[in-house]
Amino acid sequence: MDPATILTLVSLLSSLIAKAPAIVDDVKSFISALFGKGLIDVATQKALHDWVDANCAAALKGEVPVAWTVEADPTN
Amino acid sequence: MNKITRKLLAAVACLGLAGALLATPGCTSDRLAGGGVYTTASTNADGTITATADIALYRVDATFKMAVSSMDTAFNYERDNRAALWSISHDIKHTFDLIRPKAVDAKKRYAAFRAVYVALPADQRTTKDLEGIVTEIQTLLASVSAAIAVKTGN
Repeated sequence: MDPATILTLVSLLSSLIAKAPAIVDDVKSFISALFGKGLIDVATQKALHDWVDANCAAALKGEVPVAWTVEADPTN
Repeated sequence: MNKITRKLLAAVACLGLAGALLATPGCTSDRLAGGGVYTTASTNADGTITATADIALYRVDATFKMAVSSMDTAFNYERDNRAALWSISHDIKHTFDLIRPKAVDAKKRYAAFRAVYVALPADQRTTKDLEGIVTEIQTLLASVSAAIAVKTGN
């Protein structure tokens, strides 16, 4: 593997690791929500409901996050 | 290094796939506290009103959130690192670009079906269509994660 490819992979890995805490937080709340044996409190329900409502409203209005759109290919 | 990258990418893909299993009724023992936003009221034949917590909708919504958040992470990852990924393989962006409109469409259909669902009387509701769309998003998520893992040689 040439040095440029190694540098590229290191850069990609750093970027991915930077996102890891957010992914881990999502996983924790997801698992506790679905596997918890206790009651899911009203605040937790509302937080999920609000998130889904906001995303559904945006989707129905045709709003698309920029990362979800198809952009032109890089020129290089 | 490659192993770590592969594990992180696999984790993103597995999140979606795990959700498909978890959305199946009966695999959890959780309950919703009364009085929450997932509580619906229905009128019985004798005219009495019963409040019921809609655990099925809660579960499919939780799975939807996990799938969409993971997809968003994957799309942003590709966009934020486009130049680097492009230098490795043009197929990565092209694979993502095939998935993007499908994910947008799936998200929009979920919103439309959910609007219909909540408008129905409690005894006529079924989350089957919503679960099907979430499974679609999870499959798309697995495809984009695989595209990065394969093309970067991890």
